Amino acid sequence: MIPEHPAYRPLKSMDRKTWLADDHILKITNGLLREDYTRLYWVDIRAALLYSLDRPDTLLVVAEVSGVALAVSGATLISPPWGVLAALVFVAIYAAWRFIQPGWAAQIYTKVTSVKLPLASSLASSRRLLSELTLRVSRAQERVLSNDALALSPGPLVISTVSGSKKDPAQSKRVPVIFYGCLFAFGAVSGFNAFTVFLYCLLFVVTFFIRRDFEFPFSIRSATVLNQMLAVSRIVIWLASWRRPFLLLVGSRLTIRTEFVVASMILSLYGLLSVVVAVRRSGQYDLRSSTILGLDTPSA
Amino acid sequence: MTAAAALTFTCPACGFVLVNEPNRSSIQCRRCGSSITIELFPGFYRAAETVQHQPVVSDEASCFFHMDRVAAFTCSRCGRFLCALCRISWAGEDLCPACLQTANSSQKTTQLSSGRFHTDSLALALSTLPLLGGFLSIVTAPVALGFALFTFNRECSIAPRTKIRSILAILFSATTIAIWIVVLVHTFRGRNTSVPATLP
Repeated sequence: MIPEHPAYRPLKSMDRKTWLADDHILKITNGLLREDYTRLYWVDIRAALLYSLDRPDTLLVVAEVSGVALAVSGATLISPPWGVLAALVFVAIYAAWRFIQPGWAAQIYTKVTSVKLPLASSLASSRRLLSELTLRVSRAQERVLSNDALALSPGPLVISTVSGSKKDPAQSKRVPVIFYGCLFAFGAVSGFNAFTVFLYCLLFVVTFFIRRDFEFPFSIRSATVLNQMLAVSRIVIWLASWRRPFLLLVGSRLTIRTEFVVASMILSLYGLLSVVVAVRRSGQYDLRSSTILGLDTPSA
Repeated sequence: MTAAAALTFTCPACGFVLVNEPNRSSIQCRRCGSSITIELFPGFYRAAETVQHQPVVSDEASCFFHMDRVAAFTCSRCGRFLCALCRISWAGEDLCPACLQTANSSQKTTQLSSGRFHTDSLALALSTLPLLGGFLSIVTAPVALGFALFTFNRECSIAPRTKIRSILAILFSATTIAIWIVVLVHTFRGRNTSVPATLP
């Protein structure tokens, strides 16, 4: 008999959204104040697709590295002993975040649903995780070699006409991407005007409540995390100096330190560039209908 | 149509329909060029189960819910006889619909839970967000503290979850209350000392 409260262990050590039980995978979808569960039982799983996630191209990687370097260089130049230490901590925390981001994901199909699970950053680690899942599914379905199934029925796996409900995943992310564009635009001009600082802070608070899943463009996530880290370090240093604590509520006092203003503007410019690239990429696949190999696939 | 054709694969990256070449588990999306590895399991080829109804003859036990059908299973919880239609195979047990509904409504089992409310996140939001509004925190801080203490032992997730949000909510709200007490005491003390006492 299966226990009513199964013991869960994470699929990956750092991922708290995908859990493994003895007989199923638990996928947790987090809302604002609620989490919803999707259970995929081993015996119900029909197929698994391994695919690579969106990775930043050379331009964005250069922008990211130079943005971080420029942002932290201000602190190191203005206040050398503590500034260097703060810059190193900043870079170390960001690098830790950067290298645990998934580069690969799996889409698991059952008869009635499909769920996307983030895997590891490298292909080898992702294959290892997927093979662990495959083994569990195979054991549950009383077989070991998954390739045997292909030999059983080598016919085509795709129906020639699609119902039309298939949606381009990039389309659903367009509104949040534009929102982030506004955020970074205010961030880029925040050094000139107190009102833009206020709007930037307001949008910044809202970003905490916008879902950014693992399929959201990496560069936008990266720019947001960098800005969040900068904001937190700004508040921490400001609190540590303990000057007029009640003015924290006003917010404008936080903009006084020049190195923070410049760093915020540089990182916002990086974010703005990420948004532009993401918008251009999403438009690339904005097709109403395509014909491939003689199969018409309308997407009304 | 084969059993295999019952499932359509679309590119997880761009949503485009995938065209598979026979006997290959690795394919490329024709639109975005993503390389995709497909792993198929026996469940993919499994035909849909069909339920056979057999009428009751002579002394055979009948289904609790359908008197005209022969019982083939018993409910693991209440022991009712069930036909193949009424039997719900779930988590290694054969259950009747009533027991499944009872298990769901009583929430004694986490296996049926579809979601949970994050009381710890609400307590944390109550203790931090009003700080942006300033004076609102004089009301929300005690509410957040009480709520965080009241819901401290409540499970907010069926998966392991730390108590850090509740602890932070208690710390933030307690600090806010302490600051307000200090501010109010100073304010009233300042008023009392600034007004000169009138002698008769």
